[in-house]
Amino acid sequence: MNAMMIRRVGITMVLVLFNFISHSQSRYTISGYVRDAQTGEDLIAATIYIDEIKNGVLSNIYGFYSITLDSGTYNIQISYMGYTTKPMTINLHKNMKLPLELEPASEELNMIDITAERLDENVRSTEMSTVKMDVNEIKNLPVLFGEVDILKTLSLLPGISTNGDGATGLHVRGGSPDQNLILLDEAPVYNASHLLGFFSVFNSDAIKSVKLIKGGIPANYGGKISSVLDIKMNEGNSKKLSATGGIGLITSRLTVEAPIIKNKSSFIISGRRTYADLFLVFSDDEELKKSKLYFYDLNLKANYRFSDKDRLYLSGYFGRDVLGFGDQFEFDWGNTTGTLRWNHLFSDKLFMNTMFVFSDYNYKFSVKFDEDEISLQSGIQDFILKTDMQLFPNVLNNIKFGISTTFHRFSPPSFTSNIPGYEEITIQKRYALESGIYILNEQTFTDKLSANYGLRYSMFNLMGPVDDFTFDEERENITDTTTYSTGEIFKTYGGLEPRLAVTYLLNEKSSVKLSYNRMRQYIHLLSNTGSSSPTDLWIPSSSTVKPQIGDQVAMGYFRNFKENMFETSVEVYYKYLQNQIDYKPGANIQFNHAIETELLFGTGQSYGLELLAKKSQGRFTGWVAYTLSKTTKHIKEINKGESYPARHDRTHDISIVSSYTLSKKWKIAATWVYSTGLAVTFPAGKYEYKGYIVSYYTERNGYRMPDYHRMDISATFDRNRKGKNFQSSWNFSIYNVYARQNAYSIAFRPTENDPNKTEAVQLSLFTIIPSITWNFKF
Amino acid sequence: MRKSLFFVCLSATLLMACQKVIVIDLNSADPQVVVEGFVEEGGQPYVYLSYTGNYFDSNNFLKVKGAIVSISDGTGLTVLLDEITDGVYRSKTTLGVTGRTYTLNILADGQEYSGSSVMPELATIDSLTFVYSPKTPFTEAGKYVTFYFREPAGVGNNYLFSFYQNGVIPEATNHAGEGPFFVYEDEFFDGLNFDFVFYPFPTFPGDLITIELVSLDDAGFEFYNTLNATLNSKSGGFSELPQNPVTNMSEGAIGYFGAVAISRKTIIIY
Repeated sequence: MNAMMIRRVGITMVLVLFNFISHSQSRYTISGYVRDAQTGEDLIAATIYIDEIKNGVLSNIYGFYSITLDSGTYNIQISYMGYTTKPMTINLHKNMKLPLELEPASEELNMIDITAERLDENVRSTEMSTVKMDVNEIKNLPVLFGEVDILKTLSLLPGISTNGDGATGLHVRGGSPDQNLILLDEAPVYNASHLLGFFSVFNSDAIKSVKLIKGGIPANYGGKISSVLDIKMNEGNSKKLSATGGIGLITSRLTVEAPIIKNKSSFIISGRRTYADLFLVFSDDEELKKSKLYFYDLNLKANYRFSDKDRLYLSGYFGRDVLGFGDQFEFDWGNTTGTLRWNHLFSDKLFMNTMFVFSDYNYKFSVKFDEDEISLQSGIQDFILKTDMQLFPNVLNNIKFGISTTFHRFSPPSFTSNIPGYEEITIQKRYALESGIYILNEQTFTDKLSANYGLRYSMFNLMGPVDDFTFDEERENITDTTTYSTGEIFKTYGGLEPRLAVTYLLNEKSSVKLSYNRMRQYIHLLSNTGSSSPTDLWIPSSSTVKPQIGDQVAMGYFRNFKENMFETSVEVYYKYLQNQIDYKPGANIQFNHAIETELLFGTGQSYGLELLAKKSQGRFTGWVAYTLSKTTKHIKEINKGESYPARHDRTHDISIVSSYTLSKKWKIAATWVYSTGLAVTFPAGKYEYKGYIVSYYTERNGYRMPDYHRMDISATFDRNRKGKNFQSSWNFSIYNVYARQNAYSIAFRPTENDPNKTEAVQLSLFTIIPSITWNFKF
Repeated sequence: MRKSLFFVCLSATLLMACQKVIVIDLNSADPQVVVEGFVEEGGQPYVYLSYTGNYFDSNNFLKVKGAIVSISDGTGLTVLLDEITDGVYRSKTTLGVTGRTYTLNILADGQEYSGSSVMPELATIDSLTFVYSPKTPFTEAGKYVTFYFREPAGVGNNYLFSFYQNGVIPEATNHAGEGPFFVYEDEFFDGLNFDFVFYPFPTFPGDLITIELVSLDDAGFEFYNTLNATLNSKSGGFSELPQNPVTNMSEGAIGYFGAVAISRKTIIIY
């Protein structure tokens, strides 16, 4: 059945390709890379617009473009946000290689509207529910502890939220953080937070582009049901040595990039470390002196252009959090990813990207008491092989197809010690193969109608060596155990994932868009606490745990005003999720042979309305975002079988982001957020058991935390002196400027001074927090 | 456990956290019957019955008066428990034979409730010792008591370890988020010589320490384990989601009825 499905998809793919190739004989192709003229960085999604046919193409994620046209003379314009638009005239009578370089727009130019730029991409493209963020743009916004954080900034957009202070896990359209596909240079990142969620692992200095897809997810992405967060690292300056860095309240950053061989090969190395704990040495407390508390990130990337046809990239990320007290206790966790990619041009119309990816997340916990030593470790590892092809038959079609396979190794907690009798206790490892094959076409049907349609087939094979358990009906006891040998495939899941996104232009300024996608997710993150923790456990689907399936329909109206000065959009979505996981009361998900006995399964749904108005040109820029949504879960054993609000359900969510350029030197910015409090369970009574006062609960998540709101402000001072190579800037931020005490948790407990009473005690994490960061560049 | 531990570490070193008592409007659930009943091995059974109360009322819970309470032992014997004071029911008949299933039946306010429990095998405390430990990041300076026992072979035994300092259960001095009930399954120490240090409780010369090793059935483990989770949970934040403990009583009654085998030993600290 599965093999047949693959064959059928394969045949369709070949037919489609053949059709396009045979169709394009008497025409010529212009192709090449679009790059930054100063650094040689590839420009992703730069527009190449042809006046004569009133249409254009975008460069792909490696900066490559290809346009096939009838012979003739064409006026083309190459444009990219923040760069000076370049007009050209081309006499096309043979296939041409045309490398394009764009100059970054200078500060002065930036203030004047560059009207030639085609900035109505949001209206025209088939992408909807998609957020692209320019990392430089967000650097002026207010920050917490002086750290620019991509994930926190994303949460200021409609449909995206975090669970308040101290959380970077993104909830996208009612999904949970583990349902986001987070890719750093194509490598999956399994734990995107530092310090239990106060910071994300993405060092903004090393990041080139960020794209978050909430809906209408194209067929080239798969594996998670909620969203795609596609992050690309900088490639490194291929023209000259340069460095950027910064010193903040709790971290310092340094990035060095340089050509290895000018215009052919370059590298970038970017590091960040917190140093709050370095001050502990000055502490009077002997215990505190020996404490460790820090994290670091290291991003590395190098690339080499063999020729116009071949290019190799090697990128890596290493990050770790360390928490410890002397040699008695240490807890550390982190991600390691590596990507080796080969770009190859088969012809000026067929682009290939083949890669090998490695990703590892693990944690280790060790305690020493006198002679006794115990340690606990756990993690997940991925080895991925993937090929993506992109075919540019003509201006009206852009075809992508590819295949990928991932070998997952799940290492549940294993415990080792030197205590006799307890030397080693291990929960068995699990192994699985996850594969996908897809084809999609981005097609312009008429000058008003275009679509991105595609199909993905995904498959998941569970492999030995493993003891597979069968459970009784209540899933409380193991009834049977089957042993499988190494490499033996004993369970297979799979299915089709249709994807569609259609755009219809109503006029030059407005469009309506419609999308549908089905996603399948075969691996699951278990966490029965309120926020993400390094010890959360990834598990594969199994005979008992079924793959999650997510279906989403979204509709949107997009309209720009005043020559694209203002962009506005209205989107509505509905999402239905199957095989969602919840936990039995007091579930032990950390150290359990038969974890299935602790889980409950059900469905989820989410729907909402998202409004966005954005001004991205001029001295005053910013946006207003509003989300109205409802997210519920339905699990038979919970809440007496009635559906209940998901913890992250937020009825209203408003963000206002504004930035104003006062002068060449000063920029000021402010953000304000407001949202309905998270859904929580409060007691509806209490009782006494063995002398303890115990809360009595009735409905699940039937209450709300107090509403969350906060305002942050910042000022950036640029010390850019003409003709000087060394440039620096200061960022002054105040987080939570009116010192709102937002509730982090509420504890219901006996009153301290009167044990005959009980009270509710609210804990708030951050009040007002000022910070200052100095950034430099040369 | 680990989660709360490093959360505490974090808040101590990094955050400027702030707490305040707040006023919240809570729903009032209808009063439910709370059962705390035990058949000890070779002992006289007792059952405490009370009602739940509103959360912000005082902790004077109403007792369930005038209930008809009986325990049967699965062999045809049923004993009726007398209400000796408000909400306290006892019988003079000695029950508690290993392997027998005891069923508690309650008729209160016209509603019948029932629950049953199997008397587990007794595990006996072998010996107690204590040793001095200086202050560490996790514990206060003091003498710490260890108890030893040989775990009976065969997986499926459950234990509750109780610690009494001069007759009362002390407040834990660490904040590892564990407890207050120390409940364990024998999955990872089946049939072994087992020792357990009561790290949350420093003791001092002159203290009279009593340790109870309580053998429980599976439902008992489940109840105390989930009761720990309920007592340690908060709404929101980093905590486990608040839920009711898993009861073995029917018809919406709360609490646990258990057949338990208890081994006790006492030591004076010097």
